[in-house]
Amino acid sequence: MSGSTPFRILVAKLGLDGHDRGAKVIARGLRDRGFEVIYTGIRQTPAMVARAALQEDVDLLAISILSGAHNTLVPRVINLLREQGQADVPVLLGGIIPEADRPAMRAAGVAEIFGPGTTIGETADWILAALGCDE
Amino acid sequence: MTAPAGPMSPEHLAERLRDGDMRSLARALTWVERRGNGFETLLGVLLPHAGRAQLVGISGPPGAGKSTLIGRLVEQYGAVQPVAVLSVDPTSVVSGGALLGDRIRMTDVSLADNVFVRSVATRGTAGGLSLACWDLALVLDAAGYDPILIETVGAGQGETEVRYLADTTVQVEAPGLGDHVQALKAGMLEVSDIVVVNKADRPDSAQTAARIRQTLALGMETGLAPHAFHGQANDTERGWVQPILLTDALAGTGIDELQDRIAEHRDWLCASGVRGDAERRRAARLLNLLVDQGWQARRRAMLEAAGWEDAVEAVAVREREPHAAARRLLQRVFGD
Repeated sequence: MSGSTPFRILVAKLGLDGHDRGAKVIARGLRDRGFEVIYTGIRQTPAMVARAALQEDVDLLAISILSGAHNTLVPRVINLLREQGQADVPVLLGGIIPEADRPAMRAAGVAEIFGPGTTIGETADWILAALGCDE
Repeated sequence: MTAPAGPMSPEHLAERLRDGDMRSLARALTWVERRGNGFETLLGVLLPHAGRAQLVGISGPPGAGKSTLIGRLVEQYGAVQPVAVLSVDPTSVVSGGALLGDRIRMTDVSLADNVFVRSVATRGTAGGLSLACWDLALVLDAAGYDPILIETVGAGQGETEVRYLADTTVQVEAPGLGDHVQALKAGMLEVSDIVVVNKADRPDSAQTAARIRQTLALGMETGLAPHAFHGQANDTERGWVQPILLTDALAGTGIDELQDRIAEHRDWLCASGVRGDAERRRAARLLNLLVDQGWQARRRAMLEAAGWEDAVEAVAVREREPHAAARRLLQRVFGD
């Protein structure tokens, strides 16, 4: 990690979805890579996630969703981020996102989508590159 | 809520956050925590507007229920006044990263427009508090939040730093965390203003409260605690006796009484004149911490020049006695 102050990342579980093993592994893995990770816990509404991103002034938002409700919920979060002046915060999506839905997610403003099999190292490297620290 | 675009002057940012703009407040907190260029100017602009809030430190061992209790308190305060939370979790000494998970208990309540929750990593500060907390509390105070609840890292024996920053300290204990000897050891218990035994639904909670009451009573007999700072008249002599309360934060029981006691402590601080002493103690502590930090940055170079590496080697191979080696280094640094 470059610089002396760690990046702040919000890891959020969106919607009616209790499967948070992946989110916890990512949260812990990013912590081990030197990030400050704020974890919201499960069953968060778009408003809760956006409010946490606002108050915590995070550098990046990582959403984990396995319920299939991404088409509805993710754009709501991104709209709220825009409304509250955080359009510049990259949004990462992880979990089960079918290939057919991915173009729409990207069109809605998702910066990158990571599915099962992605390593923590890949994720961390992508984040560092996205935040302008790719050496 | 419109968003500020690009960099802003400290004056402009201060004005916006005092107008209630959350985005500006969040940015100011980041600026101050990172000590970005001009952060001192920002703190200076905010300083005249701070000093009204009651800073309430909440300590206790991991798992005692601090976050859940704070969630309840925030719910109640938030119904009538702006309330903020600074939630401190430890930074990993291995990676420098941190997992900040206290917000989990507060995501519901943080949706209210007069509630502000911010997670903070210790970033290498010992004592259960981040050094940045002092500055962050000032910013929240100037933004009009009152009270400001400061949740320390899970702590209880060594992590007593919060008593310098906070006006009122609450120690949260829970049943089943140790035998009666634990309650006799030094720690937050003897310097806290209010003691809470949480998880009162558990059958052994009354016994835990009784043990704590006995321990604190012993302190009164020996003339020491409760809540005596070295060399100062203790608070009991000035009229504050630590209440011991039972709460069940999950069910929401006992929260009203805790709120009442926190308010009573604030009234007592003002009426007894203790608040003035506390302000000076707080100022001295903060100055001390800041000077120490600057001093530590410089002392490395001074110690290197005084033969640090040789001294480490000599102590490592047991050639030199450590106390003598340390004294010799100091003599070389100070030239005496």
